[in-house]
Amino acid sequence: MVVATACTPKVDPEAQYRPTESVLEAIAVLRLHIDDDTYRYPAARDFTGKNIFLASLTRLERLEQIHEEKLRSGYLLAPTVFAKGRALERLGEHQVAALHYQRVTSFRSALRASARESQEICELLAISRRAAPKLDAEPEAAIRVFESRTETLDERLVDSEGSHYWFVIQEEIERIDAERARYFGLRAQLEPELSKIALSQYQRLIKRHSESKNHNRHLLDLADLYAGLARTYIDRFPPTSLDYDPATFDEQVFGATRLYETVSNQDGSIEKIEAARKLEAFLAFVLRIQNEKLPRS
Amino acid sequence: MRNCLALSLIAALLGSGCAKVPPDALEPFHYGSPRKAKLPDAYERSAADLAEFALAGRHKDLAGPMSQLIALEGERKQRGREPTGLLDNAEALVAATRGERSFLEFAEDYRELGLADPRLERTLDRYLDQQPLVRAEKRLAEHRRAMAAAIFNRISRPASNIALGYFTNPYDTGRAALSALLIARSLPKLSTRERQALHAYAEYLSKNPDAPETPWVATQLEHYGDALVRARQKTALDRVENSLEKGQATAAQYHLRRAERIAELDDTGFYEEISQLVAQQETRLESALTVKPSRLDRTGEGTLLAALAGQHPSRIRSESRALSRSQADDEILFLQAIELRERDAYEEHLGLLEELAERRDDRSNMARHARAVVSDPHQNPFAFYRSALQQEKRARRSWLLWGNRYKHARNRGLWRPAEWLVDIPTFAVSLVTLPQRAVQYRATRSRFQANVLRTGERYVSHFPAGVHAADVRSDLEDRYRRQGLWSRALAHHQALPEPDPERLSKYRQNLAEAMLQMAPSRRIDVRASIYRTIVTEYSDTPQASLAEKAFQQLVEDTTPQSIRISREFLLDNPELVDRGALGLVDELLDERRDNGELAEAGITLIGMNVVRVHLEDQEPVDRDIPPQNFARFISMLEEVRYHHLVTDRREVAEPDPQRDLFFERARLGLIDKADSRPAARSAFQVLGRREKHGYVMRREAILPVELVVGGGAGDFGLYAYPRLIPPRETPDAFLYD
Repeated sequence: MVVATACTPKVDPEAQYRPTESVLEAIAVLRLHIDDDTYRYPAARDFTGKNIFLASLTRLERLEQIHEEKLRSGYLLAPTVFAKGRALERLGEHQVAALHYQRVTSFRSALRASARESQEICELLAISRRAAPKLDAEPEAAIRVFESRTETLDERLVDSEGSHYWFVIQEEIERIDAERARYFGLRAQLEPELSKIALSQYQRLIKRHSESKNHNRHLLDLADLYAGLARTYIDRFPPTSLDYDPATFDEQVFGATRLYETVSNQDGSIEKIEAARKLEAFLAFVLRIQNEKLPRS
Repeated sequence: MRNCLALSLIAALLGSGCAKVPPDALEPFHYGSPRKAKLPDAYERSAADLAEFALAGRHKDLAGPMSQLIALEGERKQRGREPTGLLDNAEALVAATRGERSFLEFAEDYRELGLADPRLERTLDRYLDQQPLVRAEKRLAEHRRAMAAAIFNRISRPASNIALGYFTNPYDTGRAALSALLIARSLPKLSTRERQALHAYAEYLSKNPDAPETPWVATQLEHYGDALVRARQKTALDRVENSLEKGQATAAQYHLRRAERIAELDDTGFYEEISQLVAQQETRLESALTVKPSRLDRTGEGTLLAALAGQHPSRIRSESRALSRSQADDEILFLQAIELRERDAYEEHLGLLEELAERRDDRSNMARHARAVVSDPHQNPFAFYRSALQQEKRARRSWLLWGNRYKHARNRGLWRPAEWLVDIPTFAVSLVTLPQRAVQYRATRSRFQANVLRTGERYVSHFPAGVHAADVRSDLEDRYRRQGLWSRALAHHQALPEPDPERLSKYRQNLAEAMLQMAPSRRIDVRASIYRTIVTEYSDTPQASLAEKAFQQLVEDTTPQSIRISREFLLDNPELVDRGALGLVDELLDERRDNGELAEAGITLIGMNVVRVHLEDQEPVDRDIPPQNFARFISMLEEVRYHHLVTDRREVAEPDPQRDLFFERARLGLIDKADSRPAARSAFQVLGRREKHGYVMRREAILPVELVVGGGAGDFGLYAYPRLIPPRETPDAFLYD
């Protein structure tokens, strides 16, 4: 293939072909990353450092606008709209992606069948986002709502083995699991009796998505929850009070510090910085409590 | 205030459209539809088919349009026409469809043969450079270069002198050699670059578990992984040692546990040291909490305690005097001290406690209590202030004598006498430069006074009407005045018993002036707030009227956006001014001033779809651009910037979220309402290449070596020596420290 161009000199293409060339270039860059495992690894970045899917979507939109006159004949309409759908689904905009695929199904194009299948999956993903438990729901009822959302996706996940949708669906399941943990984490701030459920939900999230690119983020969230519980405990039982129980406090401290430490050792991850600083801040808090509890020598 | 400013901004924006039209009613824009484009031909239709098959994953069908493209391109060449430029992108698309390996081979071939057009070339370059193994090898090579540079650069100068036959001081040579050894010794166990390589190896292994390179990568991973574990454990153990030196048993225990979690510990000596420290602390605690039998007689004790509980100063005094000193000397002194404090006689109170604290009788509970009070900076702040003054004096004198080495020889983690030996020449230089420091002596006060300021502030905060309050305040005022910290100087002078009105007025003026000077560098909302503060709170100063004018000017000039596109950039990219986009009339770019000329500043996007046109020798003109044209203009502008980024290696992406959001909204036609929040404002500038990078193309050095040439009396003339240029750190290096 390379030989085909080996004999052609490097020149600026004729202005006539620039629109096609630009669209082809944008689609080629996107196509290279369509099969990427964005569940385990962060989305690739283009040379300007932007998320490749966002950059591709924006570029295709720009090209549509600039070369409106040229593209009006429709020769590149199906691939452009389809490519935008692919970018949108990786950005988590499933509803809009579904609309793009739906548009492609109305064209006479080689992409029609793929678009129909993609539309169905994106609609399923969009629907899975709609249900949310009430803020005062019983914990079991709330868990049932979240589980009903993931069950449909779990089924679809099996069928998507081998395609890029496996990653897309897995990301969505992770999003729902994270939302579930966050739901209990937030409620636990006002209802301390939910603390244990919140902790278990975060632990479930970490265990279930240990391969995820967001693993460090989840660890950090759990560490924050432990740290928050330790601070709340001190607000309720100041270290100088008789009700203060060092064992309870230490348990929460140990949970937080261990997790902060783990993340702060993850080279190359942006959460490393956050974890390292949070660890220092939390240790300063712990030392203050210990100083208050024990007389200075 | 913010709402007020927002309203003012909108008012200013809406008002500006008709206020600045020049007298000759120049119309800078001439809009129209985009130029007609040719209908797609066979090449383009084949390219479109290829894109469809590639996206649909129909690998077998790709061959058809691809061969058609190749054939058409061949025919075109035979007819002597320029290539279409579609073929390389088509090949990239086909390679991308076939998977990572295929694309990697394609990218390597293209790079080797240099076939791609500049845009594709940069994409491929980045792709190849981002490959984990390439990254790992590159970082390791940089690590080796950085190590070599660190050591070589220390010894190159004396070595060059010897090689050139110059006289060289043997001490200097020895010192350079020692310094090189020290550098080698102080290098981290695992450098940032090695850690980056380790991370890249791990990424490769995780993404390519079945690749042929996997066994070798696994070995590398193990090697650097072990080194990282050792480095981390050493850091944790260093912290244990540090905490033990400071007597912090809890912190030492924490860091030791951390070291244990990293890997099994070889050295168990720390356990014993921590146990000893904890035991010592427990003994002290136990001794502090032990209740000793009272030596007071029961009757006197009861009456005195009742007086203390009731906080009756006169009764405390009489009861404590009633007890014989021999019976309970220290307790009585302490009680007398309490009685003095009850009478607000703090100085005497602390004086008595200091006397008691000096008793070194470990069996005396009260001496220990007194020591706790006098050694607490919050209970005895004046003593700390006094001590800080003395420390400051000593530090300044030492600095005068020894210069920057006034504290101690530099700590390189060596045997201490060796540290001093290495630093001897520095001290000699310090002595020679003593007269220079003598001249600077007065001006360096601020360098040493941080502790004096802190302790002085603490004293006046605890004892605002204390015996020394006026003296301390005067001293603090003087220090702040010298530093130009007018607000603090003003506060302390105001708090004096008889403040000087003239001086107060001077301080207020200085403060208002400092605020006025600072304002232009702040964000517009903060700037407006500063002006308002000056106008309302410093209305008696001459700066108030200046601030009022500046505020009015700010409201008039401030626009929701301030994105400037220079004339040079517009001239370099004429498609932007085309009638289908910005539609700038040709007269403004024809170099003739008589018919109006666009100024160097170019145009500014000031919010919504309003464009301000800067004209030579005339007031700027603001105009609304039709939404469709404006959207197309923004798309073109971004595409042109993208093209520059791809093709010009000097260009770097300049992140600006406010700009990006404004552009995105403009493209989607969602800017019918101006976002006047100062935080939503972008002041981005789009400049031409010459404006940005200058007329002379800078070349990167091919060799990582440079020649340093210098000279002076100390070197007996000129000297020249080679210096290795250390590699630059990657922008993400901070994630590996």
